[in-house]
Amino acid sequence: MLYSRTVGLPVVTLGEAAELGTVAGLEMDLARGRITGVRVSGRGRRTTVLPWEVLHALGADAVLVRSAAGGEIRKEAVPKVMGLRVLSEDGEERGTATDLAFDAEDGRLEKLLTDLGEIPAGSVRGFGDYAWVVAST
Amino acid sequence: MSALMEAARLSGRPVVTLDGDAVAQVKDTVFDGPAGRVTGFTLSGRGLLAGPLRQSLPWTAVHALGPHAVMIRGREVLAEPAAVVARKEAARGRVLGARVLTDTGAEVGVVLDVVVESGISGRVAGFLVSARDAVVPGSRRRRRKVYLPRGETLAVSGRALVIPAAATRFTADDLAEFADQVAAYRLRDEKEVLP
Repeated sequence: MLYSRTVGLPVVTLGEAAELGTVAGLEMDLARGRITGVRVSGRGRRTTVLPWEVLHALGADAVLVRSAAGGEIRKEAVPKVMGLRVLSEDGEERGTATDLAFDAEDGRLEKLLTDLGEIPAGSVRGFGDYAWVVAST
Repeated sequence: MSALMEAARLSGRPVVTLDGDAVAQVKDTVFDGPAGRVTGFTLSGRGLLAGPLRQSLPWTAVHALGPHAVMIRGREVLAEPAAVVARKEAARGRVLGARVLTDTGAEVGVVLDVVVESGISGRVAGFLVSARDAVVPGSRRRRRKVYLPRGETLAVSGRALVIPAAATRFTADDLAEFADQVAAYRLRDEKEVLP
């Protein structure tokens, strides 16, 4: 699954088929190499983070969740993932991130896609407000 | 051999953590007394309106000096300004504008900039010098800019740097050529040490 394809998908509860909102972005933990949650858009910049554990399915057309409980409200803007520069640990630019591929079944990060090629998730060291940082090869 | 860069070009370069956050940008590069190494950077905030930061970056905390960013482990490695500024006043002002003399007493020219190695060494590879005609064979103009390797026996005294005369045979016109010249000059140093 690609990060860009998930953004904008409706988030629907499994039991009541209630639409909670749309996907504003994904939360990730690079140290564990996983997607850890889904940010669901609300009013204004405010988003709610639903942990990966409450997801039932992340499909091509919708995200189904078991419950909206345990959602954590975030006031800060969703971090920019695509279009962000990529830097090596040595401080050299390695192009621009175009997308992030992950396993929709278990949330495992697979690779970072850039305009210069693909970088395996294991080589990604950091993701911040300025850049993706990847291991120098 | 790591890439070479001019210290003046480092100003404004972002300081980025391995987590990808830009925490500052380089204001000035600070060298040790003999201008052999980078000892750290003074910093300013990011953005057009940002002023000087009350923090500095000692070289020991640098993860890597790269062509597009200075990488650090995290925000916590930034130190109080005194960690590098004391040395800045002692050395930085002396290097730029200093006269370069050879150990045989010839004047090479005046230091315009300091050339440092990228990566983790922090070594000064040489200087960009506004050179006098005499040391630059084949030059028609009176003065021109040349890159000059920093000899290992260099001494700094007052407003002058003293370099080995042999270093003037390894000048270059651009940084790419200079990297080769520095390597050639170091190789020559090693040969002379060996019997």
